[in-house]
Amino acid sequence: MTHKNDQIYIDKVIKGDINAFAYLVDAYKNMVFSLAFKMTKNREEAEEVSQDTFIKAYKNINKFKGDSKFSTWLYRITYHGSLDNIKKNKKNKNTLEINDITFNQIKSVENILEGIERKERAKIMNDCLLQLQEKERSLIWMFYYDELSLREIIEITEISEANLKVKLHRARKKLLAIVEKNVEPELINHYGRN
Amino acid sequence: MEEIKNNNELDAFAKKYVKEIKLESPSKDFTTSLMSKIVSEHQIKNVFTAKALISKKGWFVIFLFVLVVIFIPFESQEKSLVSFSNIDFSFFNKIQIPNFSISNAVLCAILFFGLMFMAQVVFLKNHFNKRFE
Repeated sequence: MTHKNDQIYIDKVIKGDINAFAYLVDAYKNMVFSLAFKMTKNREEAEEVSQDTFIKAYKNINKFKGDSKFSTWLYRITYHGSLDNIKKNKKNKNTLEINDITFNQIKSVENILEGIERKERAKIMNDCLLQLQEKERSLIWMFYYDELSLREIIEITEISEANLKVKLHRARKKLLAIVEKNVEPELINHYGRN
Repeated sequence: MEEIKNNNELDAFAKKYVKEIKLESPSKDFTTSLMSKIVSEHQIKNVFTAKALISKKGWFVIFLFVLVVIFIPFESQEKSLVSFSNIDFSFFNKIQIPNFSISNAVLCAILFFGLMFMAQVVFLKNHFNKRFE
């Protein structure tokens, strides 16, 4: 859905047309749910966060001024809603030590991934992404999957640009380390065969 | 130099493989259940939103009308319906108020009660408005 189309439906909702909101829900539910799921790691909780996100958006839609994209505005509500949910459920944080990465390390993991069927590879990547800390996986998701700009992510997460760049870099390194760990048996086989 | 090269490579790695992850979908009845929640909340909001019987605009029109009727002279009479100079206010002097006195403490208590009562009305109105927001 385009930025212009969004505004047409938003105007309709503000004028009292509740059904117009259903179009916005349908257009953005997968995007909102995916971010909530990546952060909470639980379908039921992600669904709850998504529902709350849309209800909050509906109640405050007259406050949406159109300065940013509607999707960015929704993402902001989803991101903070997911963080609240995580805080409420006090999930344990998993920490992983990361060392400096090498070019060869990246290439060898890439080689292994290329040898795996695309569908299976996507599943591995999803599982690895879920092993990152919630803030890190949300940043990776927004930056690499949704291709949001740094400016948009700053608007959503309210963290400084310098901090965001550091966090993104750290998250990327961690992701590679997790993927490497997950495909390790294949890696050993791969080098064993050579 | 080496680090920049590695960072670029890592960026390309993340870009390529994260993009392959499938987008998650909520349950099939997500939109339906959400919209029914919104509709029911909308109805509750409408029920509990107090609407003035006469709007501010309405009051303004009534006020103007009253002013016109009272103070602007009709063409046939060429003078106002009410003229304060003709009204005899001397009856005020005839009213006899019985001589009773209230202590300062009681007066303060009554004033304070009135003040708290008004504050409570404002507080309760805000409280109920927030509850159904």
